[in-house]
Amino acid sequence: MTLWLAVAAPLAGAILIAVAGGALGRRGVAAVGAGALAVSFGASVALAQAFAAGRTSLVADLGPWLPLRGSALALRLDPSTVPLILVTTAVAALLALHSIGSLSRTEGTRRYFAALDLIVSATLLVILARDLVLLLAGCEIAAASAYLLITHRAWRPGDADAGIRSFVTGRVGDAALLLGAFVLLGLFGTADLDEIGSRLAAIRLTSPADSTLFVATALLVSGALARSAQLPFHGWLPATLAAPEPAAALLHTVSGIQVGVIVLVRLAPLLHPGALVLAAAIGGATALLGAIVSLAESDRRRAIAWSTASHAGLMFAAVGAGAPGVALFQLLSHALAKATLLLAPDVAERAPNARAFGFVSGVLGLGLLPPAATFFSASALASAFADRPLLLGVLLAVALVSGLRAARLIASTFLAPATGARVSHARGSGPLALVPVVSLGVLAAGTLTFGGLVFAGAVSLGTAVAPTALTTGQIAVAAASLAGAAVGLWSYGRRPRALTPSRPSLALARMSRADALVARGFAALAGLLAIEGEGIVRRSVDALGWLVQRGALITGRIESGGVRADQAVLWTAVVTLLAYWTLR
Amino acid sequence: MTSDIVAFAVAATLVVVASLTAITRRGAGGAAVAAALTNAGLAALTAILGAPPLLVILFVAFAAAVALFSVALGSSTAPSVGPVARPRRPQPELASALVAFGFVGLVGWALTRAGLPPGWPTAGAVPTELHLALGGSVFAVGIAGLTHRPNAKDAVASLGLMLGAVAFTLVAGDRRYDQPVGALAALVVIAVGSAQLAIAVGLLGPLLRRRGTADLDDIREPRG
Repeated sequence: MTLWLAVAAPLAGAILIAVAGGALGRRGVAAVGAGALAVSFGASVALAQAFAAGRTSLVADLGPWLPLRGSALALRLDPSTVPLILVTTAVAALLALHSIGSLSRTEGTRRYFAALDLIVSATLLVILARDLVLLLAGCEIAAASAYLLITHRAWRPGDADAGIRSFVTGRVGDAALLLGAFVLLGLFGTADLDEIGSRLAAIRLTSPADSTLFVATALLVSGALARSAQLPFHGWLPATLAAPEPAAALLHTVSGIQVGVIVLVRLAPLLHPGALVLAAAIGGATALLGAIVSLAESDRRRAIAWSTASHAGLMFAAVGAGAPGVALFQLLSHALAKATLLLAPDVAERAPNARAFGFVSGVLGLGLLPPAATFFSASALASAFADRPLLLGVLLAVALVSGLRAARLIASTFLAPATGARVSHARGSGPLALVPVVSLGVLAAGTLTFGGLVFAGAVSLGTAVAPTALTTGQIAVAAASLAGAAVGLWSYGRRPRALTPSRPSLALARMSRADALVARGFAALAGLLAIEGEGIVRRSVDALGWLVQRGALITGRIESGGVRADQAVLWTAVVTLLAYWTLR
Repeated sequence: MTSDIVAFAVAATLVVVASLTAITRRGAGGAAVAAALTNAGLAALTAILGAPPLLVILFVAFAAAVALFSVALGSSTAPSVGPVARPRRPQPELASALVAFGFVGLVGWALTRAGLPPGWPTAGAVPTELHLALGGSVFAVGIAGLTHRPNAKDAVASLGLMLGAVAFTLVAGDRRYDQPVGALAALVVIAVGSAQLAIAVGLLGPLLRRRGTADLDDIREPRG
C-alpha cells in the first residue's frame, strides 16, 4: 500500500494539476505539486523504516482484478533500491520547493508542476517496476515529461530546437530499447523480470554465448546509452539545460539523463557479457571525454552538463564491470552534489552564506574530493575496477580532471575579479524566498554527509558497497583528485579568470571557446598539453561532432523529413522482406 | 460457427469502412471521429477475442486519445489548404489504399508460401486469417492516409490507425498460438505509441504554428 502511494501520489498530483489546475490558482498548483512529492517522500521514508526493521522485499500488485497473462504488473522494492527511492523523492520534493520560490510569475506554473510530478512518478515506476511492460511505460512517460520540461520556455529562440533535438535522440534510443524488449518477450514469452532472469540463468548454463541474447541485450544497452546521452547520442546533452533551473537539476540528477542508468541497473542481471563490455567501453569513453570537455568548456552550465555525462559514463562502466550497486551509489552521490551545484546560483543574493556553502559543497562533490559523498562512491568504483586496469585508469584520470575542475570553479568564482554586472536570480520575496535557501542547505548537507553514512554502514546499498577500512581504492582516488585540486589551485589561483555567464545558445556537440585550459601552472605540469591542450580538446570534440553530422547527412539523403519521400523507403523494405520470404 | 464468421465479417467491414472514412474525410472533426470509431471497433474485437481487460481498457482510451490529439493538432494549427487555394483532386487515398491492400495480400500470400506452422487457419470459430486480414487492411489504410494526407492532424489519425491495427494483429496471433506474448506486446505498442503520439503532437503544434502551415511536407527541419 505504501509502495503504491509512493508512485501514485505524484501521478495523482500531476493529473489533478492538469485537470483542475485552473481552479486551483498559481499557489494552489504549486502546493499540490510540491505536496504530492512530499507525500511520496513520506511514503519512501516509511518504506525505508520497514526495511530498516528487517524486511527484505516488498511487492505491491498493481491490479489483481486486472490479470495479464505472462506478466506481473507489480511494483517491487529491494534493499538495494531503498536509498534510490529515498533520494529520488527527497531531491524531487526539495527541487519542487525550490521552484516555488524561484519560478517567476509569468511562467506556466501549471504545466511545469504537472510535468515535474509526472516525471518523478515515471522515474519511480522505472525504479520499482517488476515487469518489462511497466518499465517501458515508465521510460516513455519520463521521456514525454522531460520533453515538456525542456520546452517549458519554448518561446525562447533555441528552446524549441532543443526540444526537437531531445525528441529525435530519444526516439532513436526508444527504437533500440523496444526492439530489445520485444526480442526478450519473444524469447521468453513473459514480461516478468524475475522469471526472465531465472530462465536466463538456466540458458546461460547450457549456452553462455547465445547470439540472440547478445543482440537483444545490446539493443537494450544502446537504448539506455541514448537515454543517458552517452557518446554517440550526446547531442541532446546541452538541450536539457533549456529547462528551468530546478527542472534542469532534476533532469541531471535523478531523472532525465539518469533514467538510462537506472534502466541499465534494473536490467543488469539479464545482460549478456558482450553487452556488458559494450556498456563499460562506451561508459568509460564518455566518462573520460566528458571530464576533459567539461574542464575545457568556459560556459559554467555547459561544463556542468558535460560533467553529468561523464559521471553517467562512470555509472555505465560500473554496471559493465559487474557492480550495479556501485553504480547506484555513484548515481546517488552525484545527484546530491549536482543538484546542490546547479541550485546554488539560483538562491537569492541576500543569502550569500547559504550560497557559498552550497557552492563549496557542490564543488567538493563534483571534484570527488574527500569529505563529499562522491569521493566515497568513486573509491567504491575503484574497488570495482580493481581487476580492470583500463577502467581504473579512466577513473583516476577523471578524478584528476575533476579535482582540476573543482579548483577552477573555486578560482573563477572567489578569486577572479567581478566581470561587470552579475545576473541576479533573486526573484521571490517574503517567506517564500527562504524556501530555496533551506532546500539548498539540506541538499548541501546531504552532499557532505551521505558518503560518510554509507561508509559507516548507516545506509545499506547492498553487498557491493559494503563498508570497509581505508582501501587502496580510496587512497588512489583521493591522491588523484587532491593532486588535481592542488595543481589547479596553484595554476588557476595565480591567474584567476571568471567563467562567462551561461548562454542560451545550443550548438550540437560544439564547444565554445576553451579559454582557461592552458594555465601556466598546467603548462609546467604537462608540456604537451600546455602547447596544444586547448586545440586538442576542441578538435577531438569537433571531430566527433563532424562524424555524427556526416553520418546524419548520409542518412538524411534517404530520410529527407518529407512524408512522401519516406514511402520509397517503406515500400523498399516491404518488397525486400517479401523477396526474402518467398525466395528463402 | 458460420454465424460467427458472418458477424465478424460484418464488424470487420464496418471497421474498414470507418478507417477509410477517417482518411478521406476533409472535415475538422469527422476524420478524428472516424479514426476513434475504427480503433474502438478494433478494441471491441480484441475484447471478443478474449484479450486481457487491461488491454481492452487501454485500447479504448487509446482510441479516444488519438481522436483528441488529432483534433487538438487541427485546432492549434492553421487550416489546411482548402479547396479554394488548391483545386480538389480526385482522392488519391482510395487508390493508394487499394494498392496497399494488394501489398498486404501479397505479404499474406508470401507468408503462406513460406510455410506456416501446421493447423494455421483454424483457431476458434473465426479463422485467424480473417483477423489478420482485418489488421492488415486497417494498417494498409493507415499507410495510405499517412502518405497521401500531408495535413498533420490526418497524419496523426493515420498513425493511430496503424498502431491500433498492429495491436489487434498481435492479439489475434496471441490467441492463435495461445501465448501471452502477443497481448503483452500489444500493451507495449499501445502504451508507447500513445506516449510518442503525445510528444509528437506537442512538438508539431508549435512548429507548424510558427510556420503558419498545417502540412507536414513543409517541415524539413531536423536534418543533418
